[in-house]
Amino acid sequence: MTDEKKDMSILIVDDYKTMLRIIQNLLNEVGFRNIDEATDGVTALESLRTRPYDLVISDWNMEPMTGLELLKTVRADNSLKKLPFIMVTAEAKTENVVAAKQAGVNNYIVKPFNAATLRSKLTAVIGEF
Amino acid sequence: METSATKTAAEALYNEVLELARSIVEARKQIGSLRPSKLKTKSISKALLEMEEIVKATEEASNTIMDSAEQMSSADTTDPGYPDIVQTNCSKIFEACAFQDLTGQRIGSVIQTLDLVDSHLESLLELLGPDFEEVDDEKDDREGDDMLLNGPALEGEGISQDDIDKLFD
Repeated sequence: MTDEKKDMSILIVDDYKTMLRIIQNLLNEVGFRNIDEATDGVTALESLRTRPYDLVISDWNMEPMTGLELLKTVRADNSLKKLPFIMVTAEAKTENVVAAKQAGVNNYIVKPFNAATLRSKLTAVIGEF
Repeated sequence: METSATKTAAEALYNEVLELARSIVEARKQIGSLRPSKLKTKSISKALLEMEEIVKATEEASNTIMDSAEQMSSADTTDPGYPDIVQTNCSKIFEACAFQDLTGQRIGSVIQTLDLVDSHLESLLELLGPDFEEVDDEKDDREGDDMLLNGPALEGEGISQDDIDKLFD
């Protein structure tokens, strides 16, 4: 992995600490070393407006702001609208995926997922690493 | 002056009311035999506690397993103590997996409660008879995007990762 990719700032958002830890470990394993965490959409948005990020990996079902609301807010914000955004969620109905896609999600992973799936979606969104 | 026809009608009405009163007494007796308060205070309360314990146990086990995995993956493989680190952490993982036995028993207990509730509801429906009309007041108060939130799909309900990927091709 190139240093440029290793240094990418990634924000992972999930209200389950276990899931944050799983994603963090998987990202560390492939070489990413600049990872922050948030437990809901509101705190994620605060982080996104505080420092620059290169990628968001977010759950959907969270309070007080869901992942979809976070995505829509990001896409409506001129300074954030191009930020790559991957949804990682247990919501696995077609209407969920369609709604996320219409809102501008770059990729969608359904839980439970494995390392290979996360890796392939990361490649699809940020390129080879 | 009371006519014979009026008297007969009054008697018929009296008998109807009497029959109705008997039915109500019988229904109350049968509902009582279902012991709804015991079901609520004992069985359902216990099932809720069991569910809380299941959540706690699975979380603790996940944390223990991840702690051990992290210790092994971050250990120096050239360290002479490395085999011991692996052995110790493997043992911790095996121990943590014992949660499955306990949570399995707790889930079994919750299933028993649900079976009990199911049979009570069945008895209640029998008691109410075939002409009983249900009032459908189950309303989903959610609006907009909130209506998309349904949690994990059951087997065969959701779409697969492959199908999702096709939507992004």
